[in-house]
Amino acid sequence: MSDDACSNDITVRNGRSVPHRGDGGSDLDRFFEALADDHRRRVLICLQCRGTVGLQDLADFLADQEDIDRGGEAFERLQINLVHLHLPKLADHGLLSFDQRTNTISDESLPKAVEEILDLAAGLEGVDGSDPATESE
Amino acid sequence: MRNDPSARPRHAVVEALAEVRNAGAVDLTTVYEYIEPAALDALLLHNSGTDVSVTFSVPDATVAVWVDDERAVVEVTEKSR
Repeated sequence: MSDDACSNDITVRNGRSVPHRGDGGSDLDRFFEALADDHRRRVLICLQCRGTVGLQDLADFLADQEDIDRGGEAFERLQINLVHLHLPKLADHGLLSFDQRTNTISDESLPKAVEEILDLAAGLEGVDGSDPATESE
Repeated sequence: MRNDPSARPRHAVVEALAEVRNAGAVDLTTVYEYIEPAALDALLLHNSGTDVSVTFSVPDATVAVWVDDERAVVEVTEKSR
């Protein structure tokens, strides 16, 4: 997480610090697309705190955030959404790595723009990615 | 075939493939490798009054999806080997 809101090197006031791609979309467009889903933002916030997580822990984390019962249909769909949409999409954007054989999800170093958007979202949405189990021990 | 009214097309596709493959939904190769699931939902759930169906290939099978009376219907046709 950024510790100094003033050390902001992604502002576009001096022209363009966010690279513009030839196909008409900027990298920022791509980041916003990747982050335009609260589940995907929560996944990244969780990884910022924990580094590497198993699929089950990640699903549990999201279920806690959303008050979803384990074992119900909603939990099943949450897992389907993770494996078949959110995780591969975020991996596609280079924002995490997802090993489907071991069901392990690891953080990647995030572009500054993404970190700042996540910081903002975490504050607005009140998401804390740390693991409550490790804090109580 | 799935007839769960609350299932989005992407869930219905994964559940149908899991059934055919006799595997858990999260153990299947991610369908993202074959089709963008959110785009699939967007295509099929856009309420245009027009018949829309989507067909795509996965290894050893063809998957057809459409929405009938607000229910996602999935047909998995396995290719003969």
